[in-house]
Amino acid sequence: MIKAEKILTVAIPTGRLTAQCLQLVPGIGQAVLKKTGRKLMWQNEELRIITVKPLDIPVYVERGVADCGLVGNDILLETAFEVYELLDCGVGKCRLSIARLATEVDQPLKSIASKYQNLARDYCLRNGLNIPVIHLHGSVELAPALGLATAILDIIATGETLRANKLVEVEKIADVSVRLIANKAVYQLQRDKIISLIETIKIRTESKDD
Amino acid sequence: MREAYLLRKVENELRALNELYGYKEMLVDYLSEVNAYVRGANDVEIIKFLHDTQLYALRPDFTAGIIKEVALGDYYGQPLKLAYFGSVFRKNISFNEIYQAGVEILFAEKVLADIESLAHADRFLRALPVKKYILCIGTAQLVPELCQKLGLIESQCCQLKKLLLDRNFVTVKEILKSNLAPEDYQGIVRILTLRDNQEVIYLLEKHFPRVYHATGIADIAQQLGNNCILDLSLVKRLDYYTGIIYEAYVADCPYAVLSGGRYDNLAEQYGRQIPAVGFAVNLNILGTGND
Repeated sequence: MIKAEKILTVAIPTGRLTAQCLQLVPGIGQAVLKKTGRKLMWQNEELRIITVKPLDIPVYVERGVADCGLVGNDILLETAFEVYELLDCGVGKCRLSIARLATEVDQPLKSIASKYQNLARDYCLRNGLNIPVIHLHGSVELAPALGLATAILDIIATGETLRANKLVEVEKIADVSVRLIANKAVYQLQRDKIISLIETIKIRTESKDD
Repeated sequence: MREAYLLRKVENELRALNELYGYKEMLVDYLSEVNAYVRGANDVEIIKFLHDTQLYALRPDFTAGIIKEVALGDYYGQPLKLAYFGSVFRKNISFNEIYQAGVEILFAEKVLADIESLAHADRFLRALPVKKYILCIGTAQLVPELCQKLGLIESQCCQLKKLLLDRNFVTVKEILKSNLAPEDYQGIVRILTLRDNQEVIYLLEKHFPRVYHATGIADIAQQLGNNCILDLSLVKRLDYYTGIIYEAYVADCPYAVLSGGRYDNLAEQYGRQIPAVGFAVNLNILGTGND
């Protein structure tokens, strides 16, 4: 539960964004970066950091277990949690796109495989496509090559994984980057601390946000 | 099942406040024909059931039921100050019963009634056994005016409202930047993000004079206590609010515990115009170890 006048708890995603996100957090972030082991919570006089699965970060923040979190907006677009999205941190930039086998680009779209099943359904709805959405948890790029789906909806950073699996990007759905999110009550009750964190992150990323 | 001691203790304090300030406690029907409650965005949360050929619903809030009774009853002209205690029922992920206390001031079209409802909300919050609270005040008139300034069509207005509901300042700023001159952009961003009541009022008068005059926000701000702030990025999920809107947060609870505002057009479905303002506080928080 959130306690008044306590230090902020910041949720950091595990996985590809961990290092970049820790670098945004003052003091303790750098200290955590140097540590190894299986610990999931660290604390100093100013901040507490917890590391959790990216998809769980909005849950922790909405329910006030974490006061704020750093998370890609792909997760925010996919889920519908009631959190405030306060800042584009400008790191972890990539895009959410539809990709298909290079040899099948002109063929009809018959199914989409994705970790982002809600976004994939929205895409089908927007484009009038009554086709199955296949929910996968990883290695989505395999699906077209193995005939599981005729397209994928996934995040693309450099495009290397796509090329390695003979896929091409056919349509961008959204730009993705790390966002600072906050719990609604914390945003109102501990605004000074949130603003201070925003300013620190802005300095660290030299964010153009004004 | 929850222990009721703390809830009843607080309820009695709130009841005493209602009596002291002239609010008459009412009993409101638990269920009604579904049309009484249908009013937009939160329809999916209403728990409905079919009996014979008629669709009924459990009350998702008290306001709609009170408005129905007053609009169809023999009430005219005189300000009515009503209070209530009881459960409302909503379906989110699961079925929820939320125990509320609230008040409505009906046939009250003046800023004075807005101030009175805010003051009573503040009294309620003081009576709760919480360490800290904050009452945030905005206006439902800002978003339509902002959309007009930005030249947005209706679907874009809905999108902007949703973005403000999520305090998605990243995308809101992008929209403002691409549609406004730099000076307007800076001013409006400050209106939406500042925490300085005087500065917000100054900027509101400069950029949204119609909203400034229609809401009487300067008069309201003068009366605010230490725990009240103007937060003009405040947006409500329900569409029926027409003027001042407010919500409150307390320490140890991740959600808004009090929510209210002015709703002058809710009685239109009964062919009546009943200007009104009111709020409800969620007393379920008293069962979650907040004492």
